[in-house]
Formats: sequence, structure tokens, C-alpha cells
Amino acid sequence: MFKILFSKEIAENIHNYRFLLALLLCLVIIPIGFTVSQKDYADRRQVYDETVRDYEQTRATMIDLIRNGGAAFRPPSPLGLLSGGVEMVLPNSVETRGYFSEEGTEVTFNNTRRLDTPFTSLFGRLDLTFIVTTVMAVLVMIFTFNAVAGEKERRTLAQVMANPVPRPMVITAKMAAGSSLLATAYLAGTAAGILLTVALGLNPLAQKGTLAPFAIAIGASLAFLLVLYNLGLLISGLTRSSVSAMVALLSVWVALAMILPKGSVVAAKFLLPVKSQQVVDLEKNQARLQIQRELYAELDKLTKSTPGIKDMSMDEYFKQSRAKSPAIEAFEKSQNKVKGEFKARTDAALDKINADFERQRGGQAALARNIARLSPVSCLVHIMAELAGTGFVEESRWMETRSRFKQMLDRDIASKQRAYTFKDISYSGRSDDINYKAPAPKLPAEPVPLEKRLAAVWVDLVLLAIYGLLFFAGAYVVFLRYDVR
Amino acid sequence: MRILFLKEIREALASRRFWVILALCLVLIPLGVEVSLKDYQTRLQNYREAVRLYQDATKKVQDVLYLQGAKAFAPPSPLSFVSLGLELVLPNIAETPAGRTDPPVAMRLGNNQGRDNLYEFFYGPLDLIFIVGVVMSFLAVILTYGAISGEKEQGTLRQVLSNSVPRAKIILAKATANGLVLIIPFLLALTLSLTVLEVQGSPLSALGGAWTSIGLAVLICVFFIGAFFNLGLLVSALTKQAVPALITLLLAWVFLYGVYPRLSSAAAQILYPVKSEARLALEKAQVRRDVEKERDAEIQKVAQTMPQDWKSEAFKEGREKQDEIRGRYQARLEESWRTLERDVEERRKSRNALTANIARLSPVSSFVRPLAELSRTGWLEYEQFNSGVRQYEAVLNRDIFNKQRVTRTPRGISFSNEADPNAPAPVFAYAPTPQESLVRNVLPDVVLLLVANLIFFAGAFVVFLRYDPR
Repeated sequence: MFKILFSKEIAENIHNYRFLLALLLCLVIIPIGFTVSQKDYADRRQVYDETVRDYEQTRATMIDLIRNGGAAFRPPSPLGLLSGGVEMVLPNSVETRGYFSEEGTEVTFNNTRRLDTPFTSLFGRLDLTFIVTTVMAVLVMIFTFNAVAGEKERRTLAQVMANPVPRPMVITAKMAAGSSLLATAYLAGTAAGILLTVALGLNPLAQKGTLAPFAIAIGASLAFLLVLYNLGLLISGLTRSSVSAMVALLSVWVALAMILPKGSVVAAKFLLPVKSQQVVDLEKNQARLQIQRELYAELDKLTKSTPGIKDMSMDEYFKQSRAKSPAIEAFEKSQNKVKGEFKARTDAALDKINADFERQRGGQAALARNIARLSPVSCLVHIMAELAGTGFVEESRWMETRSRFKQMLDRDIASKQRAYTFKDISYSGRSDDINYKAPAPKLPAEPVPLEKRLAAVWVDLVLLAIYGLLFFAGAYVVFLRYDVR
Repeated sequence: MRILFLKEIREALASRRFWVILALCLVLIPLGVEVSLKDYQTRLQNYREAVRLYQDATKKVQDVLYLQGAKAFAPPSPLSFVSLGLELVLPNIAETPAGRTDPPVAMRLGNNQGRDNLYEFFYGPLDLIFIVGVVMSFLAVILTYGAISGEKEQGTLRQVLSNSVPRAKIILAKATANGLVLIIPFLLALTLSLTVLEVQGSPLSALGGAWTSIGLAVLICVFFIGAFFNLGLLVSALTKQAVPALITLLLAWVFLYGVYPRLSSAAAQILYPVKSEARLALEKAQVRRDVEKERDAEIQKVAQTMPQDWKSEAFKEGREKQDEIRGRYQARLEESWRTLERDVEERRKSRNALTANIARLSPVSSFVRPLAELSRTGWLEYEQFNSGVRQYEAVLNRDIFNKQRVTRTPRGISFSNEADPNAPAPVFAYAPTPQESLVRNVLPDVVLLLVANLIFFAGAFVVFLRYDPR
């Protein structure tokens, strides 16, 4: 019986050209989307490789790094075709200029992509997330809007029900047949996309570690299509005419895909306001300068209170310094001690500002994300972005990279720098423990492991499954309770 | 005509559709404006705080040289409630590196608002462009798909046409009445939002020509809604049943709104490739390295002949020679950089024009881009900020960084800067994009939208006139 119903649904969707339309759209849009994204990736990857090569050639030794400054580069995501995510606003590198001081390395993010494709930022990217959440979503609506309501309208449902056909089987057959056809069209489009990119030498799965996230993303998008399909069946079951079903579906889609996610950000910002990064950076700088002023006052006090030093003339001081006088060495040691204490104070103050900011920011982000999770569209969008390596986990990784990069340079260079003060003059001390000819330290890019990315989206994956079941249960119950009279 | 018009109006008002549209407009538009404005105020507060903190810490030339570096800030746009555009992406801050740097110093452009608004960037803002672009265009589709095809299906059109009513009047009445049902709630909700904005103490008064921009933006919105409305009428006239009309319109919406603008941007990138910013940075660094290598070799030769005594004539002579060499190589470097930058800027400009022109085939692109420009969150605003930054950079180099004197001697290298350390630090003065440039830039799109309206309506009109009711 199920087989007959399933075949009837399949035949209907094929005869009314819906499957053909879906197949055609998937076979055109998905390969174009893949090719465009991969071409963009290939160009960026080439520049990335050249930049890294150039950097490594010019920063071979420690002295090169000290003179020219250092950087750690973020490679473009090889799976950007899944989702552009927030990659456009992520840094391309974390950098520091040369001339390290004992106060610590100053590192900054750099983003060089902002000016490259303004229209892509304005109009959006043709990535798989857009294709699934918009093009495929519309196809799902076209498949489902009259699946039940249309049969009610045409009275064919009443005829079917007049036969000894179990209702659960009818609705399950509708769901299974329609979603299988859509999945077939989607998978055919995806396969065509992969084949085209391979033929053009832009294979997105050529890089190690891309196959598993790609396969999971395709699986998640299929699950999402099933969720939407079930929602379509539910709405179609609840309405009496096809047109009302379509209008209701459209409205629900706009609410779920656009209004709810945007609203979640608005609500989170309103409920948990956070300062901007720019203001926090300047506050940090102000705190640093304040402690620096106190340090200079302390050093001045030290100079004025150290016997033998306080009455020394400038010429005499530097003459004795060159002669390695024990008094000067003791004075420099005392300065080191004072500076060490102030450095610890500065680090503590900056860490506190940072930690407060990140805590507030994390709270706001978590709230926005949890509200957005009420929509299956947001769940999918997050899953795709994290699997593509263009999401929020990647952003956190780059915050960690910045800290690691700073720690590395502080450890190997900045902490070994020595500067002393005598009256108004600052002078550099010897940094004998830096081996200037040693190879420069490097921080190669490490992709976020798949487990970590999955850990960030498992809730969304579970929620997708729950939404799918809930919507199907709703459609099932509504269909079972339908009064044919 | 009056009777027909009144019949259509009565029908529209009696249907739930009008009240749903009115309720949606009255909720979404004021909410969107209020939320975007609140967001703008937060960004403005952050901007003011950043400028205040920077100016407090950077009063003198020595602060630029040894502490903060110089910074230039662009304020957020009060019109971002119309379109947030590229405000989170394009640069809004430019800075020189803090500490000693060899001239010429290039200010680096940045924008760290992206991190502050990561989720907003991810999901997109709730600005007017979204409400009109998605919600209103959908409403236009919903209002029109059955306007003609529905009547054909129900057989009422046949009855109407059997009377002695000119067909032209029927379609004109349909278009006017349904159009008003769509536009009146939109304008009502927008007027209400702008009135609330004024009562709250509008931030728009600070921006010259803001009301001209808003006026033009509203006109573009009306034309845009009209384009989808007339397209709806055309498709409705072409189809025999309401459902196929709705499906066709839905697919047309997806193509025109989602797919085509994205494709146009990708097509322009492939047809007219431009060096990426990262490649430009790489090439500039390579040029700098090559020039400095040659320069240092030449300076080294001079340095080896110089005596230790810095008071001697030979030392002074050597130092002047070194200054001359540095000046010569700096000019060469600046020229090479300028050539590289000019090439990229020109190609980028051409590519942007190509993208805009390809995209203009869809009324959506003729709506999204001009609204961003009018809101001062588009490419023109970036060009304006960039040109201000370059002027500021030239002043900084002239007054501060070019006054650095580096002298190499056989024993080492000495740095000094001859700029007066206590002189006031040069301040960046932000100037917004002139209103005329904005208006001139968006006029072709206004005309195109009008043309799209005319074409779609003329199509619907002709198809309706040629309709055979048998």
C-alpha cells in the first residue's frame, strides 16, 4: 500500500514539472555557486601562499623578525562555498611591527579583504547556505503548499479517504516522496557542482580534512530540507486552500529566515549592551599610559634616592656605564625590579579589561544565538558557517591566535629587551640572551579540529532533528484529525 | 472609472489583506527604524568616546611619534536606519603605526565594528532596505498574483468584461486601487516613524541634506514596491490561474532578489579581475624592500667614509649626502606605490561600475545600492573617507614623519626627528560626501526603476487588453 501511495506522489510531482523545475534550478545554481566561490578561494589562496612565502623568506632569522616585525596569517577557508559566514570581517593576519620593547609586544589584527568585493558584501554571496535557505526553501514551498490543501480543494482527498487507506500511510508517503525528490535534485546539483569544480581544477575537496565537514554539511542541509518539508505539510494540512497555504508558508519563512534571527540580535543588544572593541582598545591604552606615567615617576624617585647615582652628571653616568661600574649595574638591576612590578600591574589591568569585555560580549552573543535557535533556519546557518570554518569558532580561534602570537613574541623577544632610564634619558641595555642568528619563531596556521566545530553546533543539529520531528508530528496529527465532510 | 476604482478599493479594504499589510507596516517599519537608530546611537557613542580618548592622549606631535600614532575616524551615518549598507565592512578608522617608522608612513585603514556587530553582520540588519526589499516586495506579490488570474479562475472577469466597460479602465482601476492599498500603509508607517524620530530629537539635523536623501530614498522605495507590484500584475495577466501566478512570482522574486544580484557581482569579478588588497600590500612591501635594499647599499658606502666626530665638517657633509640619498629613494618609492595604487584604484572603480551596470538589470540592485549610497553607508562614502585620509596622511608625512633624520655611521645608526615635539598634533577633519554627488550617483537607478515600472505595467496592460475571455 505504502509503495503505491509513494509511487503516486512521485508520479504526481514528476508530471506537474515540479521535480523538473527543482532539478533544473539545482543543476544550474549549485554548480555556479560552487565555481564562483572556489574561484574566489583559489585567488585568495594564491595570494596567501605568496604572502606566507614572502614572509618566511624575509623573516628567516630573529634579527629579521626584530627589524621588520612579525605576522601570523589566516589561510582562507577551503570550504567557503558552504557559507561565507563572517569571514569577510575576520582578520587575514595578526601582526606586529618591529622594534620590540620590554613593555610587551603590541599586536594588531589586519583585514585586507574589505575593499576587494564591496558588491558581494552588499548583495550577499551565492554560497550553499543561501541556496539551501532561500532557493531550496522556495522549492520546498512549491512542493508542499498544495500537498494536502490542494487535495482538499480538489476533493481528491475525500475520495482517497473513502478507500481503506490508513491515513498515517498517506501523509508519510507524501512526506517521503516529496522530500526524496527534492533531496535527489539537491544531491544531483551538489554532485554536478563538485564535478564542474574538479573539471575546472578548483576541487573544493582536494584539501585534507575537507571531506568530512562537507559531507556533514550536506547531511545537515538535507535534514533542514526535511524540516521545512514537514513544516510545509503541517501548514498545508492546517489550511483549506492552496493559496492560503502558500501565503502562510511565505510569511512563516520570512519570519523564520529573516525576522527572527535579526530580531534576536536586536533583543540581545537591547538586553545586554556591550562597549565597542574600539573603545575597549583605547581604554586599555589609557590604562597602560597611566601605569607608564606612574612607572616614570617611580624611576625618577629611584634615581633621586640612589646614593652615588643621584648626584652623577650625564657624562659621568654614561662613562661609568661603558666601564661597567658595579654601582650602575646595581642601579639598572633596581630599575629592572621596579619595571617588573609595573609590568605585572599593567598585564593584570589589561587582562581584567579584556576579560570583562569578553565576558560581556560572550553573554550578548550567547543570548542572541539562543533566541535565534528558535528558527531552524538559524540553526542551519550556524552549522554551515562552523563547518565551513567561517563562523564564530574561527573568530574565537583568531582571538586565541592573537594571544599565542603575542606570548610567543613576548617570550622570545620582548621580555629579553632591556631599557634603562637616567634622568630624562632612556637608553637600551644589552640583550645578550637573544640569539639574533637563530631561526625566527613561527606560528603556523592550525585549522580548528572538526570535533571542536561540531561541539559548537551539536545543539543546532539536535534542534534540527527535534524541529523535523515536531513539524512532522504536527502534520501527522492535523492530517489524522481532518474531517473530510 | 470612478465606480471601478471604488469597487476595487472597497474590495481591497474589505479584505483582510489591507489590514494585515497595515498592521505589518505599522509594526515592522517603526520597530526597524527605532532599533536601527538605537544601534546608530550606540555606534555614535562609541565613535565619540574613541575620538575623545584619542584626542586626550594625542595633543602634541611627540604623542603621535612616540605614543599613539595618528588616527582618523569616520562617524557612523545617522541614515543607517535606511540602509546599514557597508558600514560594518568598509573602513571607518585609519591609523599610522605607533612608534618610529620610516617615511613615507602609510595610514592603514580598518574597521573593527565588524567584531562588535558580528551577529548583525551574520544575520543582516533590520533596516528599511530589508523591510521594503523583502517584506513589502512579498506583500506586492501577494496582493497582485490573483488580481487578474484569480478573476479569470473564478469567472468574474468574464462577467465584468461582458458589460460595456473599457478594459483599460478596469486594469487602471485595479492597479491604482491595489497600489494604494500597498503604498498608503507603507507611507503612513514611515511618516509615523520619522515623526517619532523628530519628536525624540532627530540626529538627522546634524547631517546636511539628510531630508533630501530621505525623500529620494522614499521615492526609490515606492518605485521598487511599484516594480514588484506591476510585475505581479503582468504575471497575473499572463496566467490563467492564481496558483501558477503565485509560483511564477515567487520564483521571479528569488531570482531577482537573491540570485541575480549575487551573480552580477561574481560575473564582474570574473570578467574584470582586480588585484586584491592583499596582493597590493604584498607588492608594495616587495617594492619597499627592493628600494630600501638599494638605498641602504648606497648609504653604507657613504657611511664608511664618515669620521666618528659628529662635529666635523666631513661628518656633516656625509650626513647631508645620506639625507639626499634617502630623499631620492623615498621619492622613487612614493612614485612606485602611487603607480601601483592608482592602477588598482582605477581598475576597482571600473569593476564597481561594471558590477553596478550588470546588477541594474534587476530592480533589486537599482534599489539596494542607491539606498546604501544615499544613507552614506556605500562605496562613495568610503571613497570620500579614503580621500580625506590620504590628505591627512600627506600632512602627517610633511609635518612629522618626513622630518625624521637617520644617519648611518661606521659604528651604528642614529635616529632623530626634527619636527617640534611640542607642536600641536595635526587633527583629521571628517567631511561627509557632498549631497550633489550622492544625488547624481543614484539618478540613473531612479530612472531605471521608473522604466521597470512602466515596462511591467505596459506589459500587464497590453496582455489584459488582448485577453480572450472565451
